This record gives sequence, C-alpha cells and structure tokens, in this order.
Amino acid sequence: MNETPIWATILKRTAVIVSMAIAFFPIYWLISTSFKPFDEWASWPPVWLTDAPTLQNYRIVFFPEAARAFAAAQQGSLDYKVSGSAWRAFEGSAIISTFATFFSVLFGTLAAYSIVRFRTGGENYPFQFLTVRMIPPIAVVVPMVVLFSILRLSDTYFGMILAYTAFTLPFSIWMIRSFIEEIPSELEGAAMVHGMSQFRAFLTVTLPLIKGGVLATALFIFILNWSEFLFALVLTAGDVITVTLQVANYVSASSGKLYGVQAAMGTVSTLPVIIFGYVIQRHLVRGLTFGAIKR
Amino acid sequence: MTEVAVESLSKSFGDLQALRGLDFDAAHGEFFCVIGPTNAGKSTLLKTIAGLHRPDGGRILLSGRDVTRAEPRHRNVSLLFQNIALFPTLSGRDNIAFPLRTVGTGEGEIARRVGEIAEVLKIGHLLDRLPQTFSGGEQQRVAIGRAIARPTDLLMLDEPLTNLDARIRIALRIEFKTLHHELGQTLIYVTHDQVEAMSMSDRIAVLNKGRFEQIGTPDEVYHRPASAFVARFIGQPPMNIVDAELSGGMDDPRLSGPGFSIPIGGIEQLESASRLPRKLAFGLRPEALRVAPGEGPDTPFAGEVVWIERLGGKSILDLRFAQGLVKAVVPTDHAVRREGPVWLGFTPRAEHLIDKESELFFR
Amino acid sequence: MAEEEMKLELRGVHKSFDGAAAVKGLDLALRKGEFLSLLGPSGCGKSTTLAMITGFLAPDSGEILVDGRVVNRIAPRKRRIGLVFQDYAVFSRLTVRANLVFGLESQGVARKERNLAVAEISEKLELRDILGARGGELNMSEMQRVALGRVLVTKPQLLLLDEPMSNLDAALRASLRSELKQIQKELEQTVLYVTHDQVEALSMSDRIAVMRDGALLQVGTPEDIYNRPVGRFVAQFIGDPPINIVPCRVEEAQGKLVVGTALHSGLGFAGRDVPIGDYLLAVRPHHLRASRAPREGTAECEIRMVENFGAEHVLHVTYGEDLVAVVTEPGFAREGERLHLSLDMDQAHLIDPLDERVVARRRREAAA
Repeated sequence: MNETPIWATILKRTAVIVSMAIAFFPIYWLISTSFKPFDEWASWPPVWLTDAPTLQNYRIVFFPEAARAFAAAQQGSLDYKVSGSAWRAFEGSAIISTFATFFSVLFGTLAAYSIVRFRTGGENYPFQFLTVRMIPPIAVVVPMVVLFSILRLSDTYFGMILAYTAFTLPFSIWMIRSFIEEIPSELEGAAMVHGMSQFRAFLTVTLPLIKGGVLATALFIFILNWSEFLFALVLTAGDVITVTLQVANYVSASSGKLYGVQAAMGTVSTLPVIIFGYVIQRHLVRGLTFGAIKR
Repeated sequence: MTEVAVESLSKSFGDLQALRGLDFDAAHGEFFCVIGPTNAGKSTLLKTIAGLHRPDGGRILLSGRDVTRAEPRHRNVSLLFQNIALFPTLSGRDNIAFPLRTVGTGEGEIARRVGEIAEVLKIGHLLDRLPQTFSGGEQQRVAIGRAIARPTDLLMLDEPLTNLDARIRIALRIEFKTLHHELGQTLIYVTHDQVEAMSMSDRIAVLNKGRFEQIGTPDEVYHRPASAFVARFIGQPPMNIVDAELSGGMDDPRLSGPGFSIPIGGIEQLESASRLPRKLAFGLRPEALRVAPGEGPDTPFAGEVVWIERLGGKSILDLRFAQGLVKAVVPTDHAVRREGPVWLGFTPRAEHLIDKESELFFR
Repeated sequence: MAEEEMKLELRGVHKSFDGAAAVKGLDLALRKGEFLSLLGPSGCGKSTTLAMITGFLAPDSGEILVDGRVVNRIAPRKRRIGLVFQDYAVFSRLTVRANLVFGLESQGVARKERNLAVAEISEKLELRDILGARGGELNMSEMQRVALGRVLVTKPQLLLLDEPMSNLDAALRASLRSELKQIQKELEQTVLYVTHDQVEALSMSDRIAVMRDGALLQVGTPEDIYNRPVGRFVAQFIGDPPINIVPCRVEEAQGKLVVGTALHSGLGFAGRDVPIGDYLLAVRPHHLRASRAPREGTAECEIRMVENFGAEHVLHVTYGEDLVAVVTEPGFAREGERLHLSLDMDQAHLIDPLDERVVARRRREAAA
C-alpha cells in the first residue's frame, strides 16, 4: 500500500481550508457588518470585527421610529425609499414563496409521475422543460411586464405566485422525476393488482417513499423563490413587497447605500429558510426501499 | 371450464414487439407454465393479463368476461412480480394482509388468514419484521404469501424461484406443487428454468421472441417438440441436433452423415413423407444415444469422448461425432470411464427429422 | 505435495464482522492446474473468503499465500490474481480487443508484448473473428470467453470466478460449463470457482470444498463428496434430487447389527459397528428400487407426487411419516398409485441425529 507523501496531505488540507474560507467569507462579512455602527459600514481599512457592536441596524429594520431617529441624527432628510417596517416584506415573501413552492411541488409531482409512468410527451419532454429555464431571465423581463399588465396581474400576490410557480416548475419536475424513477413501477403494480386504482396506489405506496426527495425539492424551490429579485422588482409597484426588494430599498440620497441596515435585513431574512430546512430534515429518510426490491 | 383465454394478444414498446399475436387458454385449476429465454416476453405477458399494460391488439377473457379494457383491480387476479416488490414500509404481516385490507375484509378474518398462510409457508417469524431484514428466500415466501392471501380466479407467478440458491429452489419446487394442489387455483407460472416447468406443470407454453413455439403437456413438449428451438430449450442436457442426409426414398430410407449411415423408421407416418428434402437435420435425445467402449451391433459408429461430467446420479459425456459435438447421458456406473475413443449407436425415427430452413420438426 | 506446487494456500484465515464470525479458521490449498469449487449456500462465507484472497478485505488473522508468497500485505493488483465477476462485466462499449488489452495497459506492459499476448489468447479462445465487435453485441458464450481472455492475458497465478453463471438462463449454463472446463484444461489454469450450485461444482471441479457458516465441512473430489459425505448437510447439499433422510433404529439381532425403519426391518448393514440406538438413514433417490408388484424386502408406499423430467421421473412416495424420492423411468407410475420400495443398503449412510455426522456406511468401498 502506498503511503501518501506528507506534502500532498498538506496541500490537500490547505486547499480545503482556502475554499471554505472563500465560501464562508461573505456570510461572515454580512453578519459582522450588521452589528457595525454607521461609520464603520464602508470604512477603509475594513473593520473585521467591530469594537462597538450595536443593534441599531436591526432596530431600523423593524421599527420605523428608529429609522426617523437615524435620519435626524444624520441631519439628512427622510429621503430613503423605505418608509415602512420590514414586517410587510417578510409577510409578502412568506406568502408568495410558500404558496409558489407548494404549487410548484404539487404540479411538479403530478407532471413527473405522468412523465415517468406514462411517458407523456416522449423521450425529450423533461429536457424541453429545462431548456426553457436556460433563457436568461432578463430576456423575458419586458414581455413579462407587458403580459402582466394586460392580465392585470401586476403588483398582486396572485400574479407573483403564478410567476414563481411557473419559473420553478421545470426544476421540480426534473428533480421529482428522478425520485419517482427510483421506485419500481411493480410496487404500484402490486397495489393495483390487489385492489387499488392507480392514483390511490401512487398516494399510498409511492408518495411516502419519495417523501424525502419531495421535501428536499421543496426546500430547494423555496430558496429559489425566497431569494428571487429581478421579477419581484419589475412585477410589483409597492403594494406587494418581498424581502429582496426591501434590502435593495435601503438607500438614501444623502447617505447612499445603508450597508449596515442591508446587512441586518439580509441576516434576518436567512432565518426562515434555515428554520424550514431544520424542520424537514427529520423527514429526509433514505434507503426505505432496501430489502423490498430485487434489482 | 376455461379460466383464462388470450386471443391474438399483441403489445409493443416503441420499436420492440414484446408480444406478437399470442393465443392460449388455461382451464380452471390448471398449472400452466410459460417458459422461455430472457426477454422472450414472459413478464410482459403476465403484466398485460393483469392489466398493468394495455395491449395493442387482441382480447383477454377471465372466467368468460372480456377484461381487455378493465383496470387491474377489477380483474380478480393475483400477481407475484419477478422483483418481488414487497411494500418496504409495511411489516411482513401487513404486506400479506394488504390485498385483504384493500377490499375491506374484517380485521378478525384478516388475522385468521394471515395466521394460516404463515403456517403453510413457515414465515411466522417474519410477520412483525420489515422486508429489509429478510433474506432472499424469506422475501420470496412473504411475497408468495401476499399473492395467495386473497383467493382469486387466477394466480400468476413471475419467476418466483429464480433468485434463490439452487438448493432452496429444489426444496421449494415440491412445496409449490403441493401448495397448488391445496389451493386449487388456476396458476400461470413463468420461468426460464425448464426443469421447474417440466416437473411441476400440467401444460407448458414455450415462448420465444414474443411468439409461442409450442403449447403442450410436458411429455408432448419433451417427446414431440414442434421446433428445434423447443428441442434445444427443454431437457437437461438439451436434445442434440445433427445435420444429415436422407436417401433411399420410401423403400429403404436411410439417414447418413459423416461417420454414420443407418436405416430410419416411421417415414410413412409423416404427413410430409413425400416432400422430405435430401439435406435435413435430426434431433437426438442424450439419453437415446448408446455409448460403449467397443464396437457392437448396437453401437456401430466411431466417436470420441472429450469430457465426462459426473453429476452423481448420472454422467454426461461430451462426444465428438459426425464432425460436431453431441452429449449423451449415461448412468454413473457406465462402462465408459475416461476420455478417448468410443462407439456409439442410436435408432432414429422419422418424427425426429427437422427441416433446416424452418427449424420445425416434420410431422 | 511439494510446497512450491501450491498456487493458493489459506492457513487459519479468520474474519469477523461486528463480532460475528464470517470465516472461521479456514485451511485450504490449491494445486497448480487444479479446478477447485468453493461451494455453499448464501451467507456461508465464500464471498468473504474470495474478497480476502483478492485483497479487497484483510483477514483478522491467518495467512494467505499465492504461489508460495504471503500476500496479506500486498495490494490486490500486485497479487497476480485474476478475477471474473458475476455476469462477467465485459465492457460493453469497448471492442473485444480493447477489453482484452485492458488489464495489460493498466499494468503498463509495452505495446509489442501487449499485442503478442492478445494475439495468443484470442487464438486459444477462438476470439479472432470477433476482435472488432463491441462488448454489448456479444452472445453469452463469446462474453464468457472475452471475460476469461481479459483476465488470462495477464497470466495470473490463480483465476478466481465469483458465481459468473448464476444469473443466466438454465439452458445456457450447461454449454458454458463445458466451454469453461475445456479452456481451463487446455491452458492448465489454476481456478477457484465460487458457487452455490452443486451441479456446477460436480461438473467442473477436480475438488470441491463445501462451506457452511464460515467453516469448511469437507474437501474432496466430486466422487468423494457425493459418495462419502461427512455429515447430513453435505449429503443433502450435493445431489439432485436431494438425498432422502428417514429416522431409523440400529439393533442387534443374532449377533449382528440390523437397521429398522418405519417400513423396513432387519436390514443388513455392512458398515462399521455402531452403538445401538436411534439414527438417521440417508439414501439417494437413485438407490431406491421401485417395483409395481411386491417382492422380497419391499414395503408398500403411496405415490404422492410425480415430477416429470422428460428422460426420467422422480416419484415422491410416503414412507411412514416422511416423503422419500425415488427415480424411475418415464411413465413408470402415476400419482395416487401404490408402489413397492426397497433400499440399497450398500449405498446408505447412517447419521448420528445429534451431531449430524455420518457415523457409518458400507465397509466395502467400490473402485471408482
């Protein structure tokens, strides 16, 4: 057996540490900046870890009075775009992302089942779905805006949910399809032969077995929806607002980008996703079919 | 009373024609075997009869009812899949109870039935465990238990013994036959192992590339195969097929080839007697080949033993003869003990003659 | 046997997983040019043993020697062992030539030598005409020869085959067996063949090693194992139809030992003297004589089931509380009819019911 030379091990370990550092640095900076006072937001040389941590940024995010106090302290006008508290943005994102994820996974599962069991649309159908997603989103911004305005869907929750469902559907079909393919059709066949309709067989036999995969897909789609910015920007006009827009709106004519507040908002908005992931991880069980199927 | 009847059944998957116009029927209580090589269409046939595939053409009748368009649950059949397909989240007990629960049988009756089945199949110790803890043989038994839980008009088993150790297969063969006696259900049993089919069935259907080559009793299929394919598929070792020439007309018909020339009887009983070509082939069962260390009236032809397979109860001799290799089966205490030159003999009959073009036996 | 002639030796090899012993103190030796089958049911430890010989698993204790060299610490690819997998695993996208050359290329053999070796092996295995065909296009016989060729071209000291035919149609297995054996004999290749199918073992082996629960029960020629099994398990594992086992009692009558069963009594037994008591009598189905009419020494039985094997029938008849199998010619009798059975005591074995070892069989051993 060959012994790995010591320098190879050092090189490997260093490479891992460096990549991890690069990957985690933005997150570190985000959290660190969210606690920095105003003068340290964009200072040079950069402040790695502030000596004077403050919760002011967080207060501005949640409480409009804190925002006013801040503006007064800056001797500038209340001239930045955000007037309301971030709660409305969280509400908006929650509603849109949750419903859009739900519908995307629901329709995605039904479509994936049809594609796998009935070969709907032929060999290349799933791939065709995916190619739609290969178009750079910016290319369809203008047509989408026009379409939404004709259909009177602009700046509505329904419109946003519809758009997000449509955008993420190819992903949910593609991912859930692979989970359904893992389950041999003979399992449903056994249920059908012994008295169930195909749909009931799907619900009682297949669905519980792909539960983990479906939840993993849901988490992925939820993250996509939650962090979406471009279409939230162009398809809303103020009645509907998402966390991504809220973050972007923390600018003022006099003070420029309020990095600290943006960092605070950014930090807080990761929480729902983390909670969602934590809650479903108990349901991500693998290897359920071992011992029941012969290959 | 006919339990199952299949008429001109066809099914294709894209370019692949899995079933090409199949016809057969099975009587009530019959043990009907479908055998054939891998990918002959056996599993497709069972799944189509069960309703899991929709046929492209033809009809399926169960107990007189046309079920070609009916859903699986309305056909009253039971199917054991080749890859078993036990429900992985259900215990052995719940797997077996599944068909009964789905149709709403009372829990008391279910418990009684599961107990009965566990007794017969000796799987009582598996009832409260999950399938992933079962060995291959145990999975098979539980799957069989599920298949027979609810008595149906037709029971279909797709290669139920294929994945098991040879020794367990032999033991389960007997159990199956006994079980079938007791159940009295019409049974369609699919396998690629002709020994299983021969030893257990009332009738055998030989399936090759989506078509039936022959349907008949084990004796019919063994002693009067319809084609060279059937002759080579049935029998252990399978029938030898040797090229030869026919001469002498109807007066003194003789079969000749490199190293042998022998009169052949029974020509007059063939329908196609007058149309027999000169060059043809004939089938020779390994047990019908006589082998002796010395030349004699029964063994006039020279050959050579290249290998002896000693299988305990009998031995198989690999012989070089007529510019080819043939196999003979002899008892263990046979006079021929080692490789080397030997003398062979056989008594050909006209019903063993094969048309080289169509590969069918002359009848 | 000179030590240098041993191509493979296992000395006291032991392996456990999670406290459960999978292989227990295995001692085995393989001569040059020998075909040895490692035969046993699933879970007996034969695959674990194979993994240790190839080097994928390390034994907990004991030594493995290939060609006289201890290889416990040597990496698999340096052991000069060739392995053929289940289903042969021929690379379906590569040509036959590319398959054959594969092992040599990974060993870094020079091109000229590679081509020479490939030419030689394709001649011997009759692969010359299909060198250009792709792996996926071959029939099973060709695939077996390509899988063998791929391994043999590296001139291994020892060739290991891991149940290569277990997933094949029964009809194919018979012809592949002949071919494999011919190739092995011609090339004088030392082979260790792992299988659960006793027909394969009986047919091809010079010797058989029967394994159960991690231990070797018996090692001997096929004839040894078939005619002189050491215990109940080996007796029942080898032979199709399986050996019949019925309870019996050994008593003394007029100074000699006689055996009595449910249906027969006073059976003479020419074997070694054993203590009086209850035993099991093992007789092969081929050693029961059936007749339609009663004769001297026969007992009446009822035919419960007939298995039709074409060239012969196996009748399962009642024998007291048991069922025994007897082989007859086709059409001899039908289900439900009565038959008269006698036992050939020259071919019977007495088994101790407690430790399941064969304690006696006929003293006179016929020449092979």
